[in-house]
Amino acid sequence: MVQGTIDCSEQVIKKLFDNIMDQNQLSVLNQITSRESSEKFADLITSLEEKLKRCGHLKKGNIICAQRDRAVSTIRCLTHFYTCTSVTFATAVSSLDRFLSKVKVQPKYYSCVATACFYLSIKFLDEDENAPSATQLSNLMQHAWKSSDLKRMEMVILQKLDWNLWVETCPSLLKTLCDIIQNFTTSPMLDQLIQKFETCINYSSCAIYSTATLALALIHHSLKESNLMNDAVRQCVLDLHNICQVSDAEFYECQAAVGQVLDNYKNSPKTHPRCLPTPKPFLRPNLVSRPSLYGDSELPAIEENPSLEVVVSESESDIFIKYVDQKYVYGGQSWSRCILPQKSATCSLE
Amino acid sequence: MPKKESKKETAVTKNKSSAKTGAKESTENAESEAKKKAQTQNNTTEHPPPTQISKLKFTGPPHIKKDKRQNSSRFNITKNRELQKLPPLKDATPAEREELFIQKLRQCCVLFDFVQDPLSDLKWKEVKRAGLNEMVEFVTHNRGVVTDAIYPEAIQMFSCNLFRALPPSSNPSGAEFDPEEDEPTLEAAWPHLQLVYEFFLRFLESPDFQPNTGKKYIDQRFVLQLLELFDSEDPRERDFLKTILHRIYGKFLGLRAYIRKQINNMFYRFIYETEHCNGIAELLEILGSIINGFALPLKEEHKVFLLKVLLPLHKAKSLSVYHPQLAYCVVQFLEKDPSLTEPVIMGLLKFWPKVHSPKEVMFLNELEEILDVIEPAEFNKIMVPLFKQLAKCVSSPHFQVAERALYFWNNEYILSLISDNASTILPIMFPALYKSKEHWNKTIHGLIYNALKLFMEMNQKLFDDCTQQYKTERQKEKEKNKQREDNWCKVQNLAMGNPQFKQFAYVKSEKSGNPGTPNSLEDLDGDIMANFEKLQKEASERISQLSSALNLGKITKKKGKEKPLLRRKSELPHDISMIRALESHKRSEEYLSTSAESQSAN
Repeated sequence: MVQGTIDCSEQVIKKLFDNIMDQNQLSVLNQITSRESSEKFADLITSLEEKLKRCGHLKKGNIICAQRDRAVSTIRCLTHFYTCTSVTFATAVSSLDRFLSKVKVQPKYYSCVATACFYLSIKFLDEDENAPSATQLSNLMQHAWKSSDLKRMEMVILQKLDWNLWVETCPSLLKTLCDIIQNFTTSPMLDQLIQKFETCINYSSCAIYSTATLALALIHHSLKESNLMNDAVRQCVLDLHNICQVSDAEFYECQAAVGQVLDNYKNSPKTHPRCLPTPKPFLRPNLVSRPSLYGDSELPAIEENPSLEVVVSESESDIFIKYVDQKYVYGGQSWSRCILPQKSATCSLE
Repeated sequence: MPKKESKKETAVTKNKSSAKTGAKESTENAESEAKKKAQTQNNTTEHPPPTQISKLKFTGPPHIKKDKRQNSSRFNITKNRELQKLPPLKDATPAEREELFIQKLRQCCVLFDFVQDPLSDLKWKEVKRAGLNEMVEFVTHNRGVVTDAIYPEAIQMFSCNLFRALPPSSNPSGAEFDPEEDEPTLEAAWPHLQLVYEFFLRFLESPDFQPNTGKKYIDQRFVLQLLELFDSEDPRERDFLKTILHRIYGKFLGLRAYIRKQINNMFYRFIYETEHCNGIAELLEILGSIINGFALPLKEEHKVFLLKVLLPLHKAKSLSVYHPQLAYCVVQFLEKDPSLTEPVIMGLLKFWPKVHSPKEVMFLNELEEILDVIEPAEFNKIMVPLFKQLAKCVSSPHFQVAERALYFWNNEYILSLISDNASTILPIMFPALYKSKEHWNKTIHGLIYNALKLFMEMNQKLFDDCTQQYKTERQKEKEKNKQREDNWCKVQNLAMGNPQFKQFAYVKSEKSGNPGTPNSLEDLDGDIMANFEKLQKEASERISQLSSALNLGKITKKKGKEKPLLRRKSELPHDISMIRALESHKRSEEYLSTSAESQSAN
């Protein structure tokens, strides 16, 4: 029965797909009024297809590891620090993933690899003024590696990736998809989608899926959350599934993963993967001091007000002191007595 | 150093060697007169008046070289300073010992001069020194020597040697005083005084010392005089005083409250009146040991002491001299009673330095130490104002202050406290950190990255929310600014429509399209151009005025009040004979003409 349902839906989708290809008989396009909009819509679809061609492809299974997630966190931190766009971030992560799928990296080099990916990405995509220098990056990572190491790592990565940095990433796909859906309903907020993407890509459980799958899963999640899912939109989304050539099985897996990650993020944000460990910053000794360590004198402590039962000595003057004490204690003044050791402490005079 | 000079001058006059200086200045006089005669002979026209220029029998600064920083108070030197050497104590029989001891003590009450004539009475100085030394050994290594009769003698010897008026400070006071740079002035009579101190200390610490006997002589007056000595500039003396006062506090129960009260008074005087006292650090060391011994629960008196005395001590300019000791006291208090944390930290924030950066670093050091021992419940009470201040420090223009504030993120315990309260703290700290992201200093750059990374790891969602909020706020601010600019343009345009516009405003250069931001260069140029024209006009007017005045020859040199011949260096009274002589002195320039005039006359 399930198979039957699937077959049924497949046929429906195929039909719709054919419909879309035939510009003159677009059933879906009936809702779009003017000729211009329909042309725009067609443009969008074409651009989507082009983008899909440029997406990067990953060999599945190689990149699932905790280190990778931490590396992505590091890249995210760097992105925030240098105020880069999410496209920069996504490109960096994509380069990282593709690199990791080809090469096994030792844990101690992860920080260098992650920073190198970020470095490449920012040089490639962002304005020059923003870009940090290799020395700056090495300084940020507390000199765990040198700037020359970073540059060598850059070359290695470029070689392994065949200098193919210009891949289409999720954020740009999301933009196109949002534009398409905008024609049918109020589009889900692009910023929120990108935010969700950044969260999800941090986990290798989501990163193993293709760009298009992830994008569609995110859109799905967003639409469901904001209750925008009506029939027309659903149809559109199904059409998009076909255009992007996303298989159902993969889509459902991805959707589950995305849902779990985003729930986790909302409810227990502390479980988010931490960044890669860096050495602690070096503290300048003349700036940081513990003043009370130096202020601790060698003078022994003088006890105040010990227990009243112990009598200091048997002399008469002591009885006088006791009497005086009682008088003044009631008077509210603070006279203190003390137990004097018979032998007082000798001190060194030097 | 006017004070010094005056003292030296008076010392010179007191000294019998003024005859030497008298001879010197008479030769000077002769020289100067010869010079004057030579000058007058060059002039052919007019002679200076016949009155002699009578110089004073007074020289300038004396020729006493001051290379060693030594000084001593002007205490009265004993008239009869001849000392006979007494037989050694160890040779005396037990019966005679006490009497000999007392004799030696009385001998040591003779005072010698170490400053004005260091080489005087050397033989007798040696007698006293040897005597003191011997007595120190005697008291240290023998039992049963501190008898009842010794007490008054020993204390009398101590009093007359040490209780003296301290010399005025040779270091500049007030703003010029640099506690790290200015050297202390050492006590000149130290060879003797050191031994007196040592003897008294051994005497106090002797196993035979009975406070009950001692308290008859070591009374409030004694303690007060002792406390006054803490203002000495010699650190060795202050060190001894510290130990002695510590022992007295420990042994004499009845004096404790009095000592505490007097120390408080000294602190109050320091904070609110003079800001000058050399012994604050030593007093704080003693107080540290007292605080250490406080019984719990803490008395109200002690809490008041913390809040009214110790905290305001942070205000003083010379905090760096005694800050370690002060911080120690504060931390000890908090270890005794953690409930005092909130008032202490609020007090520190109240006294937080606003322009003194080294002091800010000191405060941050102290703050970190307090946070090291703070309890989480107390931390919750003060975290909001605390982190507001930290946010200001992190964005301070002084890089050391920012660096020190950012080092807080290296402290594990503080980090754990922050992460427990991240939802409150992160929104306060975030804008400050985010703004300083592009810091020029690479250390701070790295530290800010570190801090932001730690915040991100604490709570990713909160971090993202803060970023969003920050961005929207920036956006709003930009819009507000644009709005404001637009409004001003509207006002400008309205004003331009007014027919009286040209009277009151200068024409600005053509603005190109978009008015732009208030700081746009075009606006500035327009303003500058207009102002420049104005200046030119004014200048040309002035020039015309001046030239007209010159032509009329009305410009004469303003002959203001004649500059007084007296150059006031200090507020000290001047010698009246000197003033009179200078006033009666007539200048010869009026009678002398320049060579040019003389030629033109001829």
